[in-house]
Amino acid sequence: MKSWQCIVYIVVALLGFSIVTVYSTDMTMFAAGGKGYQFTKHLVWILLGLVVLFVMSVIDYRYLQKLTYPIIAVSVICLLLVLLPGIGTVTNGARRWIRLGSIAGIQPSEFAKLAIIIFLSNYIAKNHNKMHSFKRGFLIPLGLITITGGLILMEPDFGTAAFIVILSMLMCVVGGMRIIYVCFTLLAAVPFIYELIFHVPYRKTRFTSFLDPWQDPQGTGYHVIQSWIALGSGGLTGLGLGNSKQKLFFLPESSSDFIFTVIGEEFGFIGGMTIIVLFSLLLWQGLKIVSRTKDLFGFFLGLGITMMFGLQAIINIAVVSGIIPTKGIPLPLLSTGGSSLLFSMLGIGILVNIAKQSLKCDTGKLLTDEVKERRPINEKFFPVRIASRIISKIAAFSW
Amino acid sequence: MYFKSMQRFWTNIIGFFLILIFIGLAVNLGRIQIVEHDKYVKLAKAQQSKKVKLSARRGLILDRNGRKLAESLRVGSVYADPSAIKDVYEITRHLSKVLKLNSSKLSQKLKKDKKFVWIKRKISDEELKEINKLSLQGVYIEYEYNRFYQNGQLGSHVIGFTDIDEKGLEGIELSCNQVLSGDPGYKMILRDAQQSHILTPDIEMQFPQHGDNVMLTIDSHIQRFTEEELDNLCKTWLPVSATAVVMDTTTGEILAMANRPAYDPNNVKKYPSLARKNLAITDYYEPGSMIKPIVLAGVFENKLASPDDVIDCENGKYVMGKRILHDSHRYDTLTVSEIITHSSNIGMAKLGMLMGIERMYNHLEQFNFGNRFGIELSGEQEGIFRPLKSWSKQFSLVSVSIGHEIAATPLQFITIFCSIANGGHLLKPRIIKSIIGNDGKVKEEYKGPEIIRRVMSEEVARDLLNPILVDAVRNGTGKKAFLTEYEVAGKTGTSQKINKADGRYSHNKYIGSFVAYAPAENPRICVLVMVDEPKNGAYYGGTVAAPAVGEIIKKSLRYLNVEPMKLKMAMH
Repeated sequence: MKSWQCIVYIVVALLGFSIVTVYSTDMTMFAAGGKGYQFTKHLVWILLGLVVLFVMSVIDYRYLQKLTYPIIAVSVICLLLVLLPGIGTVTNGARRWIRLGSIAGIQPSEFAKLAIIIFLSNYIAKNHNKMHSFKRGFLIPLGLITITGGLILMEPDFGTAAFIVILSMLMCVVGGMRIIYVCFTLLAAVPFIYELIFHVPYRKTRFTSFLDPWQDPQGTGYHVIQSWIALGSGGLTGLGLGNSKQKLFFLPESSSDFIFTVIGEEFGFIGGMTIIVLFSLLLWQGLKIVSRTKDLFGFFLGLGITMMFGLQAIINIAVVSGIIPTKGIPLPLLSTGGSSLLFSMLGIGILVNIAKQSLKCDTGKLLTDEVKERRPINEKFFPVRIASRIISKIAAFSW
Repeated sequence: MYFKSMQRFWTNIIGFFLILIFIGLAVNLGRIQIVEHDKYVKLAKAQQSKKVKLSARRGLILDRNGRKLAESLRVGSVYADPSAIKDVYEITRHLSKVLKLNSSKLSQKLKKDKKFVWIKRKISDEELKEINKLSLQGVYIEYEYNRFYQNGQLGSHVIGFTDIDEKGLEGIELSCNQVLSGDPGYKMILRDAQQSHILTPDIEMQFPQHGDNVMLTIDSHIQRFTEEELDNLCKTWLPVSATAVVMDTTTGEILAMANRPAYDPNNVKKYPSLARKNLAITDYYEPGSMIKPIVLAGVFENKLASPDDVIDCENGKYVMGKRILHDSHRYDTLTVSEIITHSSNIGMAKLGMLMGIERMYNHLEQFNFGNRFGIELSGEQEGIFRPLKSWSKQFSLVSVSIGHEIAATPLQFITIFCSIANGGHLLKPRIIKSIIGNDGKVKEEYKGPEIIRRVMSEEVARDLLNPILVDAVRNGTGKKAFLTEYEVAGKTGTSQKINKADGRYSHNKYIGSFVAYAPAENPRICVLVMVDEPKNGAYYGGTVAAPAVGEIIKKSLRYLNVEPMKLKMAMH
């Protein structure tokens, strides 16, 4: 089976899990918007997502490279628009949505994730040889990352902003940005991050409650404890489909941010592990596709999308099992929420297309092109070279 | 090959770290879901389900014919969950209108940071309908039982009453609380975080064990006759209080027990605490002349005198050292039976002195003076019967003979007097006839009379005392209890109340009492009426209490279908 087929199957499996679990959480007496409302909405978004997946898998991804600047421009404009009171709607004290009609809505920050991946892939592919310089390889990408991250932070949405910064930084490092610059940037950012966390009361309580949720089980520690109770009472085999009790308002956002918890409660450890394994397979296949790309843009685009899925899944699962503080990061392909699902499917579509394109190409021809510019990036930095040897040995073994 | 190696290097390194992290997540998930499973199951159960008490229905209190005296009915109580209420003003407006509550107090209640507050308990059916119609958010109805006493004031002192949680506070409700209340059950209700209840069929529950029913020896008809007579008596003589007890002479069962002032157990708070006291067992009085037949029984028992012996009554004034005894009417000489008929203190004192201190003490001790009978009602007092060593050599014998220096509750005294009526047996007084389970089966039954001891020979009771007591009603102080259809045998008593201030006998406060049984030839019931501080110019027991006793006996015996005397004579 080809990698892209694998990916489509995994996505369908995850969507299946999502449909069943959203149905279960929505068929309670007190579901928001009435019984079945969320579920129908979710189904419509999934159908829409499948269309998008198909469309994107047909369009050549290299076409996106030409559209880089329009895409990033639209993204930044959307991020600006959402901050305007007339356009962005306020939910839970944050302006994150641009409403289209009464039902549908778009989260510009979800779009921004993809937009920045496309932009950085293009940028790195074009400036690959200059990525180790300070100006080209550090200042310009950092500037753009800061603008996008800053705009999202103003919504405010600390979680997504942090996610975009981490993802972009990782891509830049892979693209050849000097690690020492990244370290210094992080060091310089520490006071700002401190300020952002400890001077905004709700983030501070989130952080302190993360350290010891039992200190205030009815207040700040509530989410984590409820999630633990749900997961823990699920046990090995779970309470059975539709039998989640924690979804009855004990768990906040049971169908979006905490959907993994409901799966863990209803299907037990087996269900939770199934999700983890499915995501691991998805990432494996994603990386396999990435490792076979024939051009730099494709490589970075595929890597960016794969890491986007991987990081989101890791952060979400880590949050619901209480390893890191609560953040509003949805579980891709499983959580409800139209924009997140739509752009995830879009990303999968691009990945599928990359896989197909790399299969079409003549490998031999490309390889000879590459020989000319052969210059290992890690030849100057000795410890990295040693580490990469060891790691690639182990990784190769694990593959 | 640069691009290819870079690709491989980075995909490997990223893949490696992702796998490492996923393994970490899986291990952590396993820890939560498998290792700590039990801990979280316990926590989940605690917050997801709620133990709801299923209240047991309190048992009935029945009269001896099975008529309901007290009964528990299901009623609705309104409570609220302030945390679920959004518009306090709106809810307050509705509730205060329907339930007639003070709106400012109500809104304060609703603003409390609590999950549960009672709004109004035990509401009427109309109010319940209204509340159900409104179906306000955060306002709920819980069904509980409420105690109803359908006869109101009738028998209230015996039955007693309960608090709002149906815990017995007085009377049978208190003394039989354990039997009546039963054991509450419970059920586990699934709930969500907003406290709305979600019912699922496979719920853990235990049905409540409803309380048993208590059947009393009280007969509500006789009780009603008794209370009617007490009401009439109170209208005429305006006493501080009045007490009446009717007892079955053959079994010791109490057929009626009533006091005035009385209260309505459906609405206890409206009445002063005096009205709630069951004076028939909680208060004791000096019996006065009523004790004379009892003392005389001892005289006859020891064969110290016979009914026809003549005693010098000193023309109404008898000096004994420092003390002077008076009779209300002057008599020169009287026979022993006439001493009772006319209730002569001087004659009785002389008869008493024949007994001697020790014999007198032993004789009265047999009658249980100074001891509780242990009736199944709370608050029974033991009266006063001083030990022999504290009797004064000079006066106690005389005092006791005319009913001073000794005190008994109305219940004690009627029980003691009954021993004359039934031929010499002291019976244990009874108020509970049986305990009936809520399935209708009799669980415990008190059969037959329980004889404490024989206190006088049948001969003394039947042949000697009975004619004397009949004579006292026919010709003596108890004339007003005389009935044409039934032969009544009784004895009056009039005692001065002891002034609480100085401990001396009062000269204007009296207790008038009368105790009698009928029909004299074959006694069925014994009636005692005691009137505390009668006003309107009379205080003799023969005047204030005897007519009531006569009426009670007449109505009760008719009700019991006892053949009237005339009819019997005509048949002969």
